[in-house]
Amino acid sequence: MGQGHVRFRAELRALLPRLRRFGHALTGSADAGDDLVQDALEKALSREDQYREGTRLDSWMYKIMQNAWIDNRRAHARQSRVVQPMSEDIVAVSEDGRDSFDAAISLRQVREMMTRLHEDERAVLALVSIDGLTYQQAADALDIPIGTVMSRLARARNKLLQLMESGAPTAPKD
Amino acid sequence: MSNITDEMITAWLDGEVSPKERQAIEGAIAASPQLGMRVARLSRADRMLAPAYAETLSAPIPKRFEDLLAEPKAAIARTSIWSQLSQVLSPRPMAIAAASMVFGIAIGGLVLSRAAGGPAFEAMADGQLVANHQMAMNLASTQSGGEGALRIRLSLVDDAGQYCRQFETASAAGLACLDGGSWKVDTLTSGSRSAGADGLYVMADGTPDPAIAAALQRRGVREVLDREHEAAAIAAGWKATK
Repeated sequence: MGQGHVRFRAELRALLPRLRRFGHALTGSADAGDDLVQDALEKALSREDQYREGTRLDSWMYKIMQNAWIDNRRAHARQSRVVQPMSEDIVAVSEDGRDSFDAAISLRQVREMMTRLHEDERAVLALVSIDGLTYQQAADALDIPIGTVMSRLARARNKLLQLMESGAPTAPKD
Repeated sequence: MSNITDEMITAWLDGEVSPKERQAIEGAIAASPQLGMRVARLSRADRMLAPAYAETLSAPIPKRFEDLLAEPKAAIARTSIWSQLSQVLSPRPMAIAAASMVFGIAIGGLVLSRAAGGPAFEAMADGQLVANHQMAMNLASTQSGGEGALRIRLSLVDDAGQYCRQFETASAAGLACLDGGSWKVDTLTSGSRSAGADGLYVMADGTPDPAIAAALQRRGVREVLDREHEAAAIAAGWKATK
C-alpha cells in the first residue's frame, strides 16, 4: 500500500460530498444518487491504476458516475422517473422575501423541475451551475465538446426558467 | 441586439467568454434594455440550484462509503497474498499421498500427528492445540523449502503481528502461530484431503489448501517473510514483531 494509494483514498473521501450532490442532481433522488456514488467508488477503487496522478480526480469521478448512470439507464430503459420527497422544504430562498419569483418556489420544487430536464442537461447544470466546474472541466468530465456544454447549459437554463415561470403546477405543494 | 444569443449570455454569466467577447456583450447590454432584461432573466435560472442540493452536500457521509474507503490494509493485503506467496515459494511437487494413508490424524480429541514419531501437538484444556517441545523446536528452527519430516512452506506475520508458519508433516498440514511463547495450531488439515494434487497441500493451481487459505484470510497477512527475513527470525528466536 503505497502513499499514492492512501492519498487516492483520502482524496476520494474528500470528494464524497460533491459526488453525492452530483448523484442527487443527476438521478433526481438522494438514494439513487448514493447508489450511483457507491457504484462509482467501487469502480474507481478497482481502476485506481488507470487514474493519472496530477489530473483532476473530480472530473474523473464525475465521468465514471455519468457513465455508470448511462449504463444504469440503459439497463432500466424507460423506467419511470424517480422523484423522492425530502424532509425539509418550502424554503423561500430570497433573502428579503420581496422576490416573489423565487420565494414562490420551494427547493423541493427546484429539484422536481430538474428531473424534468433531459439528463444531459441535468449533468451540465450539476457540474457547472451547482458544482462550479469550468466549461472545459465539464466537457472533460462528460466527454463532450465545450460548445456542447455551452449549448446544453443555455437550453437547460431556459427550460428551468420556463418551469419556474409557469409556477411548476405539478410540483408538490406541501 | 439580436446577435447576442442565450448561449453567449450564459457563457458571459459563467465568466466563460474571451475578453473581446466580454467587451462586445457588455457593450450590447449597456445599449439595450431589452437585452438587459434577458440577462436578468437568465441569471435567475441558477440561483436556487445550489441551495436545492445544499442538504445533500452537507449531509453526514454514509457509513457504507466510509467503510469502502477505509478498507483495512489487511484486507487489501489479502487480495495480493497469493501473488506474494508465489514469489516467495517455488512449487515443490510431492508424492506423499501414500504416506497420508499410513499415518492418520484425528482432529479433536486425541491428536496423533506423528511428525517425528510421537504426538507433535498436545491439546490444552481449552482445546487449543499446542506444539510439544520437539515440534516447537522444529517449527522454530526449520527453514522453509526443506524436505525433512517437518516441512515449512511459508513464514509470515499476521495482522496481529504474530509469526505464523505454514507447515506440513507426512500426514498433516496446518498453520501454527507463535502466541505467548507457544506455537499454537490455528488450523490442521489431514493429508488425504488434497492427495493427488500437484503438491500435497498446495493445489495444482498453486493455491494452498482451502482450510489453510481460509485461516490466512481470517488472520490477515501483514507480511510474507522472504528467505532472508525468515533466516533472521530463526536466528533471533522469533522475537516479537512489534
